[in-house]
Amino acid sequence: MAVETFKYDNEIVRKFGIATIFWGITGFLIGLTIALKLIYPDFLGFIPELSYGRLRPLHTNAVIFAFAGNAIFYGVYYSLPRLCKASMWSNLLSKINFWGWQAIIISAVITLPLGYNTSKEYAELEWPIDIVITIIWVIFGINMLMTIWKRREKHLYVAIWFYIATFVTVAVLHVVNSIEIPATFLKSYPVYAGVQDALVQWWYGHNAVAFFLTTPFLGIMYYFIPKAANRPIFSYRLSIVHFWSLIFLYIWAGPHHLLYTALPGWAQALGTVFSLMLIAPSWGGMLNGLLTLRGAWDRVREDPVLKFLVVGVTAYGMATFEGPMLSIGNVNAVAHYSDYIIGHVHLGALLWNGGLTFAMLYYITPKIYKTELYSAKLANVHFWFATLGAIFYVIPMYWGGITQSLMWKEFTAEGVLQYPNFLETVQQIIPMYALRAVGGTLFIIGAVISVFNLWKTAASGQFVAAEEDQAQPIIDPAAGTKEKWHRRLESRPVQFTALTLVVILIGGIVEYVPTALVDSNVPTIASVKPYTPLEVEGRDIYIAEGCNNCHSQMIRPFRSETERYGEYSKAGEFVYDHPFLWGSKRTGPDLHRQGGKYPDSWHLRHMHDPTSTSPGSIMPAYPWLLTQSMDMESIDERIAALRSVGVPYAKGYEEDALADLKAQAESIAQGLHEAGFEVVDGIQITSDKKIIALIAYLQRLGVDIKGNNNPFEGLPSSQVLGTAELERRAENN
Amino acid sequence: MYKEVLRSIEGVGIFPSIALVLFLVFFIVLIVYLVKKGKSHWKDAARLPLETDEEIENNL
Repeated sequence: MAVETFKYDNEIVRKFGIATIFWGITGFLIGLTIALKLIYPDFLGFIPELSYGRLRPLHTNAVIFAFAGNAIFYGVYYSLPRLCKASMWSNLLSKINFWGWQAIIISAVITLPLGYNTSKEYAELEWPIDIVITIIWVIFGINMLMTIWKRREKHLYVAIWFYIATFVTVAVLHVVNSIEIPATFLKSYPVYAGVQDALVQWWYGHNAVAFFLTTPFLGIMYYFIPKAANRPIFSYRLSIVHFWSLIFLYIWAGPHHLLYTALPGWAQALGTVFSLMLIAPSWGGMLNGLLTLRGAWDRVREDPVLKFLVVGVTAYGMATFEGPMLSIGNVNAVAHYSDYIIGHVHLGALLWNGGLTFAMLYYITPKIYKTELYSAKLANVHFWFATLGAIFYVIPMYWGGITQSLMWKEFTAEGVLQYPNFLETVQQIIPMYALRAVGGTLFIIGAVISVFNLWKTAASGQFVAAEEDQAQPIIDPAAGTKEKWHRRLESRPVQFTALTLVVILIGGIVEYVPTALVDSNVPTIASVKPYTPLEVEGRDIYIAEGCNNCHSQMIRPFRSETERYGEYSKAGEFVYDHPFLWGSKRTGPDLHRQGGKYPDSWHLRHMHDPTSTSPGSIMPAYPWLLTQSMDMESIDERIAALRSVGVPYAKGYEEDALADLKAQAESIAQGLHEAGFEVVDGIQITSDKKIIALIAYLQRLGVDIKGNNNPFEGLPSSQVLGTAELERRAENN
Repeated sequence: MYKEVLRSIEGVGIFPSIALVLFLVFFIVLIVYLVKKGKSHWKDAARLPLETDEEIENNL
């Protein structure tokens, strides 16, 4: 029987490895920057492009898509051809995958600091980039599936199943969550509003964790633990159960990010139940990984690759225990919106994703350079920096998160809030923020040590760009038909992929379809009206500045929240919110009932210098809002785009939008002047400045249910909005 | 509120139940099958990452 000779492309592996570590350290440094900004708000001055709200999405995107993303490709491009006994199908597609992905990252590095973002967490990139992501992801998928198709090993090893699930599910998630109508070149509005948008976003957000940060890394675990320990996985049968149960259950769990919000109760309940069940496959997978090392624990003491793998899988176990616990209502009530969640995600990101990634780097680099690791000792030093760094990061966040959350909920014996001033609860945990920065610094030092070590390793070896291997071709593709059921499926990539798609679609459809049908049934509140053009502009500024990174707009129905913020939030209040801006953490207070709480001048002073109205505030100052002009040119396009996603502006209203915007801005500016705020700190306050639009939006927040005000009253346009449409809805209700 | 949602869609509650039951059946059949076949049935598959020069059996 003829044995074929073929080559593995190590060049692409090396490229992804370098990109992984480069973007990793970049992402960590941005993280450290924003951590420092929470301790020293004036760190780096008040430059718009470097403000917290713009850098935080850059940090999360860099770490998830640039660091972990490149690490996924690194692992797949190394392990997949070796498991398939075949070269990658197309080296050209591999290259397009690599350079396309780096181009996406660079476009994020440019657009996010410039304030172009959709506000949807981990999906912040605007629509043109979304399209490129789709194309590059599909190219990766084609290259992967075709390699599998042309393989010389009949059986698809379990790691490949996880890679397939990753490709299929991320494609579905990305496309569904990114359905948006472009208004301008870098501005779009999602077709979903309010509750629906929140559900789709967290179905995406949660499963980005599941299928971008978990399943590909489980595939990596299933390949690299056996490789590093030189023994087969503990139980292959367990891996089969692990795979199907994990991908089926994960997709349902998204709503646990929305407990106690205005999301329908049944969806919340489903989210909780499935999250609890998820502990079984998660721990099954973790134990499968750890038990593979039975009898090889002595080697864990010596081998840095195994060390990183073990700490990674252990952290996975801890994080996946936390996840279900945090999905239980009363635990969620305390942890949600607090820094506890930041600790939780960093346990996963730093140790699980980071641990497995560094294990791969230490494993693959010597292999493709045909040499030994330069210094196992240095790798061990890195290991301790990484582990201690993560601990110093995570524990202060747990501590601070719970402390602050309990302070939010504390009542005095008289029944009033013990800490009515939100800032008091912030000040309390600043030391924890400082400790977190120490932990992050340790982690970064470790990563820098790894660069040195890997560099020296590469320098000491000879790079093998194309590694030769031999295998028999599959002689009879139809062979194995006698095999039954799952074993047969394991060598049928097309059927396998199709079944995977069906399994991951079930949960999404069951949860999403009823909520989509609900559209006209989310109890519409007649007094809730669309935003005026000036408020739309203000809302877009709110999004551009990333205010939602620190402020929620979702008051949960707890007495501690209604006492502090006002009436709890109702689903019907968000029907015109494209996108929803409920937020996910409260570094600052909730803003849903902000409208009318303070005079316009308060907001002006607060944005110019937060400490002038709120001594001790760690909110950054936004002096540029007072000097930069708002975008009046594209308001017509934005109004038209909003109408096409379902906001009932009357036909042709975009023609009148600018006049309305100017009139409302003029009246706010005049009010400020009358109150004595014609000049602030030498800056002339005029009606065309961004601050005016932001004030209009903030003053509108949450006021609609308080009465039957018409926000369009007094504006020049006579058509106002589709009043007829609103009345019809009100009648239906 | 969820009651109104439920009322508005006929039999909405049954969808998750059907999906769940279907998957449970799949899951139980899978486990029974795995137990019946025994560990040795997947011995070769589990060794795949470790295969180097050994002959790979392609004609299952």
